[in-house]
Amino acid sequence: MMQASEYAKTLGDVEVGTTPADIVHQGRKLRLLHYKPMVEKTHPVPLLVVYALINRYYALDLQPDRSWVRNLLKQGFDIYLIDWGSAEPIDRYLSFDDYVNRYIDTFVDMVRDASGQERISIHGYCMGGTMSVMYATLHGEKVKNLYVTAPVIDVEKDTTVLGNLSKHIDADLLVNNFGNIPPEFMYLCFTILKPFKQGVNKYIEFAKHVDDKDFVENFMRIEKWLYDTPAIAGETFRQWIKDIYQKNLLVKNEMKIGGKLVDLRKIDMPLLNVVAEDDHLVSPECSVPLNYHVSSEDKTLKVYPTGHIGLLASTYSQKHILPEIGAWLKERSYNHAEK
Amino acid sequence: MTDEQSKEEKEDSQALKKMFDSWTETLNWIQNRTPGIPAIGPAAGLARNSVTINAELAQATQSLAEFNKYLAQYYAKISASWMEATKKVLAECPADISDEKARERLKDVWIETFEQEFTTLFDSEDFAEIFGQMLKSEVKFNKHVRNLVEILSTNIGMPTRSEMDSVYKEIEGIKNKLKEISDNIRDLSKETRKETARASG
Repeated sequence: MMQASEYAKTLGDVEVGTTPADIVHQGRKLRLLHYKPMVEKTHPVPLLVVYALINRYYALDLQPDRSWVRNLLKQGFDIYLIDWGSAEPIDRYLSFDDYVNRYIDTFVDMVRDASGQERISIHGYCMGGTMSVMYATLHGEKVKNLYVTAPVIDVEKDTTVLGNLSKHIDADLLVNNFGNIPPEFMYLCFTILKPFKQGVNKYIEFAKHVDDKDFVENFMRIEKWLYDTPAIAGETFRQWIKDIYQKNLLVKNEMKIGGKLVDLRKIDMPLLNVVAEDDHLVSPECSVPLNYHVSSEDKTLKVYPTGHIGLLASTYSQKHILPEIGAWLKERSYNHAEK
Repeated sequence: MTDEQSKEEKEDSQALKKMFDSWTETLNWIQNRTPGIPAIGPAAGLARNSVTINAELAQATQSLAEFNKYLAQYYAKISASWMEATKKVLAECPADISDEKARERLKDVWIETFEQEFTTLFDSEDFAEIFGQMLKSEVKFNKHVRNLVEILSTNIGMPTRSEMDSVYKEIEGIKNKLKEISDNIRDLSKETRKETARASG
């Protein structure tokens, strides 16, 4: 207990996202990171990671021994990642059209130019998975492989509390009034997800292990990530709730962004869809249908016995998920001539 | 009463009505204008917009009342689930919790039971409806307060949220145009490079 008070003094200093990376592009808030390779020769086709607009990108790199990024770097991948930053008042009119057709497309072009590859691999996580799917339908000629983790696809089949509440939210009123959706609103929604297992039990566990330095540091990293939620651009939130959660337009191939139809049937590149059995944010039933709606002949679905964040930042992921994903991706990260 | 008398009486009453209507109209006009006559700046604006300000205040109060109504329903649902979960935990509670193992088991039962009870609640259509309405009335209250601030900001010549929003929209349009232009330039230079290579090769 004496030591616990010492750890408490350093709690604000927990380090996350420590894997070395170059900042290839720095906008007002957006950044494109290029991780420094950890092998002598990387696989030729680079991987661009599209993180969600909710919470922060460093979930992929919370701590060295559970880092998603570090694991794939060690497997020889050349990784780029989009850090979306936080939406500011000026961003309230940013819609999916801007995120997908402007930002992602610009970054894909930057990665293509830097790597000399005509087509690259894209990985999208959660909402980023949905955005990657949108991108692949509209700019398929630039995507060699599409790998998504827990994407929101068929919300009618979603069984989560979030899915239930979203159907009763007046998105127009919220966006017209707030502009961007403030982080406090997201906290309000998160607090009612697993309120006792995560809301109460984790603090009981914390009190039990308060003199264990590693436990305390791990705990604080997760807490930091949980409460580091940026504001969400208003127009994007409006589309997210109305078009996806309330009208379920994406899976019906009726969603439009920037006037262009998002047709899942246009996805014909190799697809890897990774979902978690115990996901309480995006239920597997919501993500799995992607594989039934695309035209890809080479498509793989992987279901793991873990949770939403466990897919990325867990010992289980390091031991069981990432080796399988690395193998899938490696097999598809060479062009014929390079093999 | 003769027909003539009746006609005269009707005309009198219409004239009287006309007079009162016009008087009421004048009073309304005075009520809205009088404070504004000698004032410059905020007071003039307040006077000019007093009807709107009053309406916004009334609507804000109404939204707050609605919010309290849904908040009460929200807490009623939470309390009912809490009571139900407590009953279930008590039913499973071991008689003797003096040793560490029994206390640990009780904690696990408590967490598991409350988790299940509350997840069932949050998953219900009923709760989601109340949650949605509660949120809606809170945001509506916020909206009326914002409208009031907009009126006051306009009166003192400060930029309003609506004005800022229109600027943001304009900037967004310009950014999209820029992306379109840079894409075109990129495509054109690619074409030019190809043409040059073809011509020289």
